[in-house]
Amino acid sequence: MKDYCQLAIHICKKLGAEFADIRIIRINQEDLGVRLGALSNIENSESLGIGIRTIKNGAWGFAACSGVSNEIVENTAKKALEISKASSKKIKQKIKLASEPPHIDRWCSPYIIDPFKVSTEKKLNFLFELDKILRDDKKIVNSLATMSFLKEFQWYANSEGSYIVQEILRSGAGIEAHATNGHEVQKRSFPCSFGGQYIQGGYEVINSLGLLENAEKTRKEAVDLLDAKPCPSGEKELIILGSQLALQIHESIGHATELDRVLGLEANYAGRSFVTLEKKGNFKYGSDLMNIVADATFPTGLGTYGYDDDGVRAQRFFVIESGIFKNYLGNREFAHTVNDSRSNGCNRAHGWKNIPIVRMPNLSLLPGDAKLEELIADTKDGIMVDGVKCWSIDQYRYNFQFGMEIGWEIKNGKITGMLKDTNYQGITPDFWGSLNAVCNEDYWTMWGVPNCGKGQPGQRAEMSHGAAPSRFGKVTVGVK
Amino acid sequence: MSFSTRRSELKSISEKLLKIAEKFSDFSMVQLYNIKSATTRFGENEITQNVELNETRASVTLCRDKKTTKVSIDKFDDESIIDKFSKSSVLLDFQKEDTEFPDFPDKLEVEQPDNCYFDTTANITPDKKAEIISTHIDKCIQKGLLASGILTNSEMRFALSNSKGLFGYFESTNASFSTTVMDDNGASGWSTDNNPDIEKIDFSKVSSIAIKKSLLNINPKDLEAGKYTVILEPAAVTDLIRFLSLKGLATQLYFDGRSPFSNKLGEKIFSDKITLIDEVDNPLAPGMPFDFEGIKKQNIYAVENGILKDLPYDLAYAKKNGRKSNGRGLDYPNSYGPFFLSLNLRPGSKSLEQIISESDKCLLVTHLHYTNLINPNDLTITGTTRDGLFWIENGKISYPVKNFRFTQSIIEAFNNVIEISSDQIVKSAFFGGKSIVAGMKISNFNFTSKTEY
Repeated sequence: MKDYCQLAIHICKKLGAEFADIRIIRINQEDLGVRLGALSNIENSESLGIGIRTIKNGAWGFAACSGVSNEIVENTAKKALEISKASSKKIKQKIKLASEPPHIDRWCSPYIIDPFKVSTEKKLNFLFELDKILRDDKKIVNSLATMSFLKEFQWYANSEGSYIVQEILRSGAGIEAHATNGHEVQKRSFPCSFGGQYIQGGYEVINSLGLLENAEKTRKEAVDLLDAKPCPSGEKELIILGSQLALQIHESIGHATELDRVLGLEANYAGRSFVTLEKKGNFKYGSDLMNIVADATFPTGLGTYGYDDDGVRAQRFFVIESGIFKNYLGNREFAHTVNDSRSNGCNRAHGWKNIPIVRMPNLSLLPGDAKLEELIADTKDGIMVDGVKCWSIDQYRYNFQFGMEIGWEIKNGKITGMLKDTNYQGITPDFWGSLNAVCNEDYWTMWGVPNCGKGQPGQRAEMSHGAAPSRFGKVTVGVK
Repeated sequence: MSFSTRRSELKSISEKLLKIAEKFSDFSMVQLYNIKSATTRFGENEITQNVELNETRASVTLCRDKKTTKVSIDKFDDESIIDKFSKSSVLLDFQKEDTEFPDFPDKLEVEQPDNCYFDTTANITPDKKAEIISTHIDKCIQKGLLASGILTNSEMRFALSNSKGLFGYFESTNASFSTTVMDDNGASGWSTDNNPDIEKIDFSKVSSIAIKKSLLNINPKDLEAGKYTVILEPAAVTDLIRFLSLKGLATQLYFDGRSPFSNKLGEKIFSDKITLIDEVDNPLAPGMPFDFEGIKKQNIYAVENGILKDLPYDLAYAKKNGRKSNGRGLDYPNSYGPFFLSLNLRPGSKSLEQIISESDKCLLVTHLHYTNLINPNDLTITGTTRDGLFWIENGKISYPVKNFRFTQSIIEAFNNVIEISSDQIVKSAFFGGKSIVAGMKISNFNFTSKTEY
């Protein structure tokens, strides 16, 4: 692959590129699913291709093609340069990349058991066993147990002398059950919604999730929700458990602090951001308990890597410290717009077929010092919620509304019953300003988000968010 | 390259895959795609991204003794194919026989529709696209506005074949131009158009509408959240129909008892003004004439005058229900069942302009943002308005309004329809299919909170 990388850079330089990089990527993926006692999905996929990025006349070009050969590399490089030239017809200023020293390195995510070497029989038997437990109630009308494994090899080279090889392995699994009484449907998932929990690692991840131990509870909660009280409407203290809080971080902090959005480059699709440039270093984003760290070096996260797709070494930095907004998520192209001399390494692409764009690495709320039991005991009139069901946020990442699978009513320090159809709505800085307790590291988990969409053409990215149960004061709940 | 050459190219690869699959299966099915897509993206009055993709990919279903496995590949040399099929077919040993295994067809007699593929779209150059975008940006600069958006052209070729001898081929092109225009304070307007033939897109019109909306949207006023009569432009209606298709009229949900319409076939579910048809041959938006199982598509009245008439069927659900597939099968096997992928809303008799002119004290909504399902039991969705929310008084736009968040049941909204416009737009749907939607005037639309933007 190194030869193909060198060929691409050679051709681009020869044709006058001011900068060029190439990513050759091979992805192997296995997806398995069992639904209502039958195999619902069994697929192995392999994808190999190249993506070449060029700057010519100060403008970007990008071309991608499936497969790898000398001919493909040559044609794709020429196409990227043709596109660069077309782009340069309408630019305000030439691309200025923040400097980054050339890196020659190899980086691998750690794992213990290669899931592609675990027998399919073992995997399917486990899924069938889970599914059987999930559907062991006549009110259950849908059950699903899934597993997914992805191994990515990346060869990166650029015209500045970098040559980086990375290998990433991630594994995930989850279960869900839908119950009905003929009038309504309720759902529970474990460990979290939308395919379950995903972590960088091997088959040991599956063994660590506690799926078997929690299948019965998942089924029972789905059935019990049918008879639960509807979510009350009004302003309540709100305790948000980990996986839901992870999505809250993702939507109202992660996307809001992506520098390309802030600069208006996503305006036609996902929108802009209320976190405008003058807010850096002084904007009060939330309460003093709010410490948000971007960390591409944290082991096991889906946003963990050795180098981003700009060839910039992975970093850890505060986005928000004691409630004050400190840093955007950026890349080499935009670093100068916030007077940074170096990119903080957040430029990533999905596979070979997409151009790198600003993406969250792992983005986490650092743990506090509370204990969940004490938090509940200290809550007079509140609700506690878990399990992502619905998310929506406006084009400035300002007004949001979330719906959850399950909730519990808290009165005078005690849980008094289960709630269904829970939701809450808020305005981002007001909401984070009401953060009044964060649980300690014993409750803190990195939750994987394997399906974040962004960009035109749309591309997917994976990242994780560390979170512990946290409490917010006076939040609007039960919106109808 | 001519149509027959393009078709032959995919047929040849498909035959190679089926031939090798014979060693590992007693039945196999190949879906082969070639996608060429190029997007020029602009923001803040300059071109910011410019990308092109050329991908050939096959998804192969291997079956033996009514057991199934799937493999997806993009390398087509013998060694790679044999390696992948060999590894994948091992998975067949660990499965149970599928007693509901469908009887896949052995032939498919369909013609390539006339108006789906255009060389003009397939062959437009990055230079030409940059010129089109420059013209739009220059218009915005003259008005002191900022333009962002995309101009995309794509070409999709698809071949479906199976080891019983079935072969089907379909190809399409699509061009899409979409732009958001705003002033320095964020007063935004938006417009879009798409067409299989890029020469039929009126770029100037799209540009003018977005600019006009942006200028109308300066200094929006604060209104209190609450229930209002709304006029949804066709682009806004698209979001409601999409969630209705996926979460209300999905066959698996219906038969699981997870759809709010379960057991309601033949019953009135919406206002009698609502008719929704999944059409194959509407000249405004022709699509692929067969499904992913090799069944010829038929037009389906999903809802006629408010009455739930029919559902999408694949071979498996058809067999379970003692009827024939109506050609809505997706990948086999899958965990979600068949969907309507291109529901068209039958238009009304009055133009959007006329509906506005006859309206008083209501809101005009350009389009919706980040819509999502918050309660499946009554199909309640939430999202926000975007790029132009206007107060209508005495038949005219009176002033712009700051955007709202809505929390609204689709079922309730489609029962509160006052008018459907004769104006229609074509919105891209999945896989070359497109939905044709009209505007709607709806009473008691539930806006639940407001935003500063």
